[in-house]
Amino acid sequence: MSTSIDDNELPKANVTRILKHALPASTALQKDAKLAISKASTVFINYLSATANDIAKSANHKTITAPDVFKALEVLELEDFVPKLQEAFTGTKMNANYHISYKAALY
Amino acid sequence: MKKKYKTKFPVARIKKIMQMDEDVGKVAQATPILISKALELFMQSLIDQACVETRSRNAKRLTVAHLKKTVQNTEQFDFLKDVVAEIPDPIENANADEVKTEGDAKPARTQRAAPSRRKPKKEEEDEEF
Repeated sequence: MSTSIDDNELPKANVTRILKHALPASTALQKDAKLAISKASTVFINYLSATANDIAKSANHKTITAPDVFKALEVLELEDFVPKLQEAFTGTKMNANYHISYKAALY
Repeated sequence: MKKKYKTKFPVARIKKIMQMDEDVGKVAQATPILISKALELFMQSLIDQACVETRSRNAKRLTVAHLKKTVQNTEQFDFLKDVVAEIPDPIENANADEVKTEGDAKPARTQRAAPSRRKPKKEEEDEEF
């Protein structure tokens, strides 16, 4: 099944920036590989969202919250990411316990 | 001290991608931002792993073939199997376009079976009249 809508891919500039930082200095990146990684990123978002969504549902709330996402990461065996993410979010107002329904979700 | 480079993805785009799934309803404000960061970590992880493959082949460029191999070999990336399935099977393409390889002046050509490689015609040129 291919629901590949180009419109819903991440902007190239952002992808390039991250890849530049991620690649070791001695390694270049094949052009097609960049596209593949971009696609993989979209899939990752979908995958993570679907899982977080299930978790939200089973916890009986309609809105996907940050804690849902953290749980989802564990479910997907990506708990390696959790410490760094928590680090990034402590002390900012986007605290894991903070959840407001996104009003704009209506549009 | 954390490096503060702006690699956040546009929140609206992430939300759009999330809502590609009809099942997904409302999304808390913090969520796309969190996912943006997770995405960053994911991409880093993917590159790191793929690089292992790249290095094991003595290649200078990370190619889709390396990505495909990595995905197939790493359980964590199981969900990417469909993405790489689209990638044609790896052909050890030695006839690569020369991409600028930063900080690497040595003409170290790995001696793989690559008959289509440009032969160093330097010798002939030297002997020009």
